Amino acid sequence: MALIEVKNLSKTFKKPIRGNGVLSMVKTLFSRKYENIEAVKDVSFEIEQGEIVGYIGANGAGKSTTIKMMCGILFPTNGEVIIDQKSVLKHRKEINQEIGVVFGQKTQLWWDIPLIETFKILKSIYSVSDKDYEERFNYLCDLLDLRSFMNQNVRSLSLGQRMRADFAASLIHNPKILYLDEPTIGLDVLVKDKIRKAIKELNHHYNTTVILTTHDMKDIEELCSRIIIIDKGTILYDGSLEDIKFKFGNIKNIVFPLFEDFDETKIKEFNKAINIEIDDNVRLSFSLNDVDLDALLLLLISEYKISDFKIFDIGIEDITKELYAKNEENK
Amino acid sequence: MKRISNGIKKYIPFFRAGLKSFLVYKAQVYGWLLIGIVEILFLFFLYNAIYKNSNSTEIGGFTFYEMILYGVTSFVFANVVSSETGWNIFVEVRDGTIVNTLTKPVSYRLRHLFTCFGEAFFKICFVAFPLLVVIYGIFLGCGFVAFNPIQFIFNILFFIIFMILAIVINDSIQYIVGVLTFYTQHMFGLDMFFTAIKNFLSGAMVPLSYMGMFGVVFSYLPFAFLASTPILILMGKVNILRILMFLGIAIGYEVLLEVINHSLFRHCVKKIVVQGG
Repeated sequence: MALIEVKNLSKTFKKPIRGNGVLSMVKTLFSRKYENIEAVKDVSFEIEQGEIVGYIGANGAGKSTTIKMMCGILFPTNGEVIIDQKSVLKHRKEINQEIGVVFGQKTQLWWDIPLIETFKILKSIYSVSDKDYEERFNYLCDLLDLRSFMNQNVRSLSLGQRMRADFAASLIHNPKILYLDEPTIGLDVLVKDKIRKAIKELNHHYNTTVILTTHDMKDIEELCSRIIIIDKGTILYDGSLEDIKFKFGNIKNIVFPLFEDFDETKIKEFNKAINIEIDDNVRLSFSLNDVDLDALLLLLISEYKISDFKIFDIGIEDITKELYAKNEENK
Repeated sequence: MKRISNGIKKYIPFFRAGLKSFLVYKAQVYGWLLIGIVEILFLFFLYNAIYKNSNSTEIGGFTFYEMILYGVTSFVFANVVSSETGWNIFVEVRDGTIVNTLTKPVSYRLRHLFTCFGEAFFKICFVAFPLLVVIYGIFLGCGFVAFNPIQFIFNILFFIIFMILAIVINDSIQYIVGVLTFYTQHMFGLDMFFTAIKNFLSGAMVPLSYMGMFGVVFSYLPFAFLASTPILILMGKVNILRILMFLGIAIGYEVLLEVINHSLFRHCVKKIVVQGG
């Protein structure tokens, strides 16, 4: 039995239609028209204990709405979410004991008091025993390097410190499931790296199930074994990262610096399936199903005298773009 | 028993948070005291003019000094029973931080009630109690009013009970206003509406006995327990039988309000729209 079951989840928001100008605003005082916005449409999936799942999509794709329905904050228009065989809406308080949530843009820390007090408050709220609290508190302090600012007021913390603290606060009760809604938003690379390492370590140490939404594809590539891609409320892809890369035809990229008399004709003649993009660098994208990599490298070295180049697989960002483009074409 | 104590323990942090929020914002206490002095001066000159032009020494069952005492007690009492719950809920809805509250394994209602208790505890201990002791000391000491000492002790005990009930009833009404913002997304109009009704029907501005038959009807509404009834009890103007009857009515209203709160929350929480992603 899966730990999380999302069954035919849909959410429609009723949004008032407002015209421009003062007259239209006055009109809305007397009669208001509404339009229905379908944020999530018939979404279903299951998540097993211990999985790290990346839930990705563009702004307004329906990621956060789905996460909020999974936490029991938003009520679905249709469908339901089952966690540990219990309906989220019917057993909200019980399930809240089992989940931890980090919303990157909304802190759960008490603003006016020292950080350590927030941890004590959460200890009471979640009824964590003294022994468990000590063990987890020390573990999280070491993992996220929190000790140096534990006695500072939350409002005086930097964004990076606050996010690390928020992350630790969501874990003090050792939840089975951790929802992370854009946890690395606005953070510098060092803090991002620290948080990614902490997520991995935590998943390994406590077998915590993690559901992560992010716009940073490095988060996904480093952490997630499985991704769910959503666009305009519907799921475009649900599967492993490796599978989607394979499905996208084993696409490779070769990048080398642009030089003065570069002429792309020979590459085009070699194989028309190679896509060429030129800016400060030259980027060749192609599928291994269509192009012989060894022959292409030979051509670049012999004909173009290129010695400085990079070869890498297609990134998840490119795959998402491709999926979005295909989705648009199908419509 | 252990389960109940563990259950209450969960809410102690919210009580502390309410208490601390007042300790942080000392300026609002000084501001309130300043407004109080102006308001009491206004009452003094207003009732002085009214009583001087009256043929009787009593109006609506109040002598001039009793009237001033009623006004001052009402002002202090209104501060104690004021609750930030409606605004706190609205701010959570407006900022979208309600997501963090709703994902905690605590009752949304009790969380706000305990925060309100924290605020009230501070206001009772550090503002209302010292002020009332000084004011009643002056009025009794100067012979402006007179109470039977034993009866006055009973009055104080019942006043404390009714004050706690007033805090809870007022917070329940504030909670209704706050939860309605799940729907309306705005607070200002709703708050103005409820505050106006409360000020008028509670007898905080003028005693209900000034309103004739309407006043009698109003004295049985839940708003009367937010000012008129507790103050009249403290001033010894309600006999023991009526005190017990009012106690029953107040508890009945509170139970009814909590039932309404519960149903309203269950209904309105479905309408939540989280602002700002």
